[in-house]
Amino acid sequence: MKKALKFLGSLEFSVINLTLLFIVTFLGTLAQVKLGIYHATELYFGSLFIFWNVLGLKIPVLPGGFLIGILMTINLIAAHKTKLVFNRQKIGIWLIHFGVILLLLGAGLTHLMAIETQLKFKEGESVNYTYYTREVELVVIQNLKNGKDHVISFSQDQLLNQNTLTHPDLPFTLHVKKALLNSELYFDSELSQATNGFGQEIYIKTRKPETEDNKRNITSAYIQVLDEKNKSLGTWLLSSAFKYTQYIDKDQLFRIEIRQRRDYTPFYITLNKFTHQRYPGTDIPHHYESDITITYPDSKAGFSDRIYMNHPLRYEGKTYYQASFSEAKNVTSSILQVVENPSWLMPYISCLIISLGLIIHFATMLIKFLRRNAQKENS
Amino acid sequence: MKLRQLIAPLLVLAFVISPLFQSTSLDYYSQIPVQEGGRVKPIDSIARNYLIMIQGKQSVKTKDGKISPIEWLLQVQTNPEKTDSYEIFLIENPQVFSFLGDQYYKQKYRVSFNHLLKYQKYIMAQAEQAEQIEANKRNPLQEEFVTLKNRMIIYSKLKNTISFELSENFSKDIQTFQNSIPSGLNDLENKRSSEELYQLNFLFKQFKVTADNAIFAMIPPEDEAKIGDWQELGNAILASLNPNTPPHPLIPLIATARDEFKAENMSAFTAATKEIHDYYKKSHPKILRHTKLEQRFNQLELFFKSYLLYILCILGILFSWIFGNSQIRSNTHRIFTTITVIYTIAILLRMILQGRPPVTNLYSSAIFVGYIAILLAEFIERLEKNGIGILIGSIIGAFSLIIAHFLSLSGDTLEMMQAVLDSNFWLSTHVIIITMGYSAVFFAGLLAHIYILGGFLTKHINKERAKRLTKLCYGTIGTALLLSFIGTVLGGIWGDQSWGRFWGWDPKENGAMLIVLWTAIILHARLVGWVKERGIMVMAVFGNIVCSFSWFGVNLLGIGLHSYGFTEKGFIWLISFCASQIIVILIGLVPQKIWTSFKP
Repeated sequence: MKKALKFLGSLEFSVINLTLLFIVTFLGTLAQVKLGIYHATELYFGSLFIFWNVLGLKIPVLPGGFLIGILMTINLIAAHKTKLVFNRQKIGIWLIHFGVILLLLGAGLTHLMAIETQLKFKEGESVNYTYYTREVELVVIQNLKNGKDHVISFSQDQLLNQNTLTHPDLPFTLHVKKALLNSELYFDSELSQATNGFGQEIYIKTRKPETEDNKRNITSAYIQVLDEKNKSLGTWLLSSAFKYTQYIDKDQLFRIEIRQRRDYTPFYITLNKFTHQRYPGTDIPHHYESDITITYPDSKAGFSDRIYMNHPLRYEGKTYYQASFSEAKNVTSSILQVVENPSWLMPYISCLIISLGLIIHFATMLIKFLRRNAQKENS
Repeated sequence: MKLRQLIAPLLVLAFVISPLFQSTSLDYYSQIPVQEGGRVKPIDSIARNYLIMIQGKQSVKTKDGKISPIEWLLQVQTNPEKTDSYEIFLIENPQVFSFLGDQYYKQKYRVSFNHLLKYQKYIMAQAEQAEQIEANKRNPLQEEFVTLKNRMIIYSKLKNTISFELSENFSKDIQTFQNSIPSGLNDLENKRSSEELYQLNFLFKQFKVTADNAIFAMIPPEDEAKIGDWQELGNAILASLNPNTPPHPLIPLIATARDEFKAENMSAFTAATKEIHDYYKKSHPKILRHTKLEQRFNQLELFFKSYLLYILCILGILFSWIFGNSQIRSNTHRIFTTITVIYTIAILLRMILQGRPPVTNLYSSAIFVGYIAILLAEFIERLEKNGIGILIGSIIGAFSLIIAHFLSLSGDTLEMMQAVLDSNFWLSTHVIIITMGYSAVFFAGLLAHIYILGGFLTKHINKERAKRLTKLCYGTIGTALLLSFIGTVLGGIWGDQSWGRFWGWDPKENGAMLIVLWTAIILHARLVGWVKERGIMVMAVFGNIVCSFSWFGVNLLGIGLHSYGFTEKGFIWLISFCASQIIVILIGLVPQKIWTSFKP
């Protein structure tokens, strides 16, 4: 036991960890060419183990970035118990390693807790939600007749893995006949399972999930709706590629769709004006900026702000960045990246400590070296 | 300081600034401001950048000797029949014209526009076929055809940017056009055919061609302080169709200059270009100061001269070692220091011209890697006084300038920046420090080369020298870790500030992290005792591979936010460099008993 503890806190273990991280970082970077940044990151850096397919068997060949992070944290904490004692000569070294512990913890927390969504709006449009770019949801929206909607949402996991979806607020049972994470849509009325709505002539076929960073899955499903007496009201085809409104009841009170998963905010954010400039005589974008106002439905005071490159808006735990813009059919929409990361300050603090430690240590060493050098020359 | 010691630096200075004292009749013309690629530059820069894009170098060889870029451009615009026969179009793939036989089966050669015209159909067909394929999936031959097609288009556009190719007397054509406007338009309205209308129609089409094909714009906005779109000369001429727009005063001046040059009437040409100058002096003095400075900077070719002087320094140090002459060494050191001063001025001038911190693209990162290396070299030479610092500084300096030269082949090196990068604060912190980190890694790697190659091939590396080299190398690796880490962190903060992610596993970020990790591994492996002197050296050489991957390799992957400007040819060079480093590593791993040094 003692031996094991000694090893965990040893320099040898540190070198092994650093080397493993070096290799995984290199392989992960190369893998990005094929898998795209997002998926390669999941597989190599966010994982406990990296699996390779050998003869159809999934074999863990290397520890993943997440596991190495844990091992390094253990290594450093154990070392602080044994070797890295805090004293004046080694204050730089101590700060560096203490900072690295915080950095690793921060990275782990970010991996577990950070949520990235987006927001896209045209001039004059107000929205009270942000959407996930890589995850969809199945929603049934009930018109409450007072101008408001009641949204009942089922997650992507539920949609893909459950046969029936129920909710206490929902007077229907949804039966998932077929659900595909990524799909191709064909015109084929014979194979289509839909009996109602827009999809009656459309057949869906499975496709490999998209890995390229700028491509999105088209998630589609045939959903059969059963009323309280278990009587079928029909089967609808839903797809994240659709932008149609499909009602499932005669009174047109309930509509159903698959869309990018949304996070609602208690406030509305309005795009007052979007400006974008290019360098004179070229098409290279130079500056783009969203002029926005935040308002609350209940008279709570709102405010206005400008969001542009390198100048985000931090509000209510979310940070809004000017990410890009899209131009379609003469309508320009501004796209904001929205990040919710409770541990966003961690890297700042830890890197400050490490940098401080590095500079102290480097300066001490340099002065020592130059002093000895001068002594040598004098003698 | 003795007078004798000043001889070498003064000679170097004289060599460097000599072009400033040679004035030619083309100077005024070459400083004329134009707008292209989002910025205002002297027409001289246009000539140089496009020549580099077409033929990979700046000076043009003709039957009557070499001509300067600006003279070439003037000839292109006034006497295209002549320039069509200049052999300037670079062919870098032996298969392009292989069907023509041995003469065209060379790795690299240049042909004339006339030659290309003969095979125009073939080239265009090949290029169009290649363009169907995504850029990163084309093979080298397909890529070559696309490049060749683009070069032909650029050249044709240059021919038509000021005047149209057929114009015998441009001033007269403009005059005729302007004179025929009132009655011509009147005839058009009344649907009458007339000589004036015919003239108007014919010239309108010609000016429209020059307007649509213009590579650069020559007519500035009225107000100097207003940054905005300039107008192409053709469009400015066509603007006269609106009776309320008086013709711009620059139009007749530019036309006269063009006609006089065509007529080889040089004194009248100089007079006309001087008038253009006077116009700018009066109404746009700031712009003129800028373009004058940039033209002078182009003319001095400071980086090219630094490159030649580095080669001189490398030879100087080698001679001083062979002959054991400290006089040569100290003179070489003086030359080296003079280059450092010149190089500093060159970087400052670039910063002034661009209004930016020194590193803004891959090209300037190469320039800057060299700069930090020579500063480090200066520091180490003052410590060691044995020439090692100068040798390493000169080698990295020369190499980084070669790399910069190849990177400059894609066009204007003072190009505008993408919006994400448009932040002087982060450019001057994150980018600079990361680049300094690269430089330190390469410096440590070269110190290791001296240990390994010097030890293996010569008997000059004794125990004491080896210890000293190791110390220097170890210290430089420590410096590299410090710089790379801080640089990477600053990048993270920038990322967090601009798109909400401190760390996004972008390839360039990973590359920077690899450097941090590798240097950390070296330091810790020594602490454990897994490596000693030789091990550190071998690992330091591997650092060169890691660093070159981080610097250029990730750009080759073609993904992520930092994937700009690097090509297939670069890949071959990168692989060759890595291979050479692996050879050095293997030599370093040969048992020390076989080495020439370290014999008991």
